[in-house]
Amino acid sequence: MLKELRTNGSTTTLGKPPKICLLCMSFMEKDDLKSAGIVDHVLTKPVRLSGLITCFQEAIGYQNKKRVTQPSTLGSLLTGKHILVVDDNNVNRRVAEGALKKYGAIVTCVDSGKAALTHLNPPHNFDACFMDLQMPEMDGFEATRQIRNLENKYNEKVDSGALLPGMSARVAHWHTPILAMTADVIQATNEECMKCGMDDYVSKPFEKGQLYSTVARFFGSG
Amino acid sequence: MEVGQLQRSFVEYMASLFREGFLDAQFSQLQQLQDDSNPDFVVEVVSLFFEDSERLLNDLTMALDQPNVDFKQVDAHVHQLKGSSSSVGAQRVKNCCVPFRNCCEEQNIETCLRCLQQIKQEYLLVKNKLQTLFELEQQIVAAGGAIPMVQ
Repeated sequence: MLKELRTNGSTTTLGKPPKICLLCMSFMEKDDLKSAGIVDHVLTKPVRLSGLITCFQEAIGYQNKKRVTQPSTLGSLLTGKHILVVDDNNVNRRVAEGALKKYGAIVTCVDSGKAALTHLNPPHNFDACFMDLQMPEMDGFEATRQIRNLENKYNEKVDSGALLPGMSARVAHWHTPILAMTADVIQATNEECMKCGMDDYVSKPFEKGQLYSTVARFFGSG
Repeated sequence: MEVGQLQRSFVEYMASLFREGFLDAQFSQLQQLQDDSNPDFVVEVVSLFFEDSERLLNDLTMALDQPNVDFKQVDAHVHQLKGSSSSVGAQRVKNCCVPFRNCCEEQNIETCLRCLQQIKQEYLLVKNKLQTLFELEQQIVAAGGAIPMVQ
């Protein structure tokens, strides 16, 4: 009968096959049934509460192992992360900083592309950078191009053995996620962002949902 | 005035600012960012906005007063103003910036001057409104009350 249930592929309203927990008398039967894959768990009679709890825990735990655990909030993604904010406008800087700090990030603000270069020259401690696009002297596109240049040079040195990654470098291959902050989100801007080496863009001022889905790409695995 | 009355005035005033379009959702975002670790966040950011805007409005006035107007420079100033007003939720000021930038593109001094006039008006209005709002907050706190959270 159990074999039939399984092969019929019956599912609960959640679309998952229900766990089957068998009550049996002897220990010998238990292993046979479980290894045959006919049932998920076996409880021997008389049923004890602890046994019941273990059975349920294993049943639920099994589910979780299958699902990739994703942090569910911006807070869990950004807490403790070192973020560089680059914007020549002091109001924008302060607001971006406030938003990121609220989610637990450790924020440094600079007001120019040039300053961004200094801070993102490897090795450094930043986990990501939010970069304004339109800035005088050196805009976000140019700053990103130059940062990628610096990273490539550093990576070459490491690869050639001229530089040991050592303890001062946390990673052997540098690529700091750089996210453009833009008020005008248009396709053309996006293509230009990608061309100069940016990883993605977010709208300015931040919109929580978009910020989360963008940041999750880089910090999703924790 | 007793605390309850002050609080009701505050809530009504805040609601009117949103209803009349002076403030948008971004201002609510700023209020949500304020907490115990950042208790003066809104006032701080708005003060920065006032300083920034006044400087930019002066720069715009001077730039449009030149014998040979540098429209690129004018546009750059308007871009800044659009950014900062957007960041604080000063909707009406922000909305003045788009037509202003169009006038810069057309290199039309007349229309630029009119845009400048309008944006100055909107700025002074929202400045006045926000200052009134902050004063109400101070009165509530002085009377021993808590500032109501407005959705």
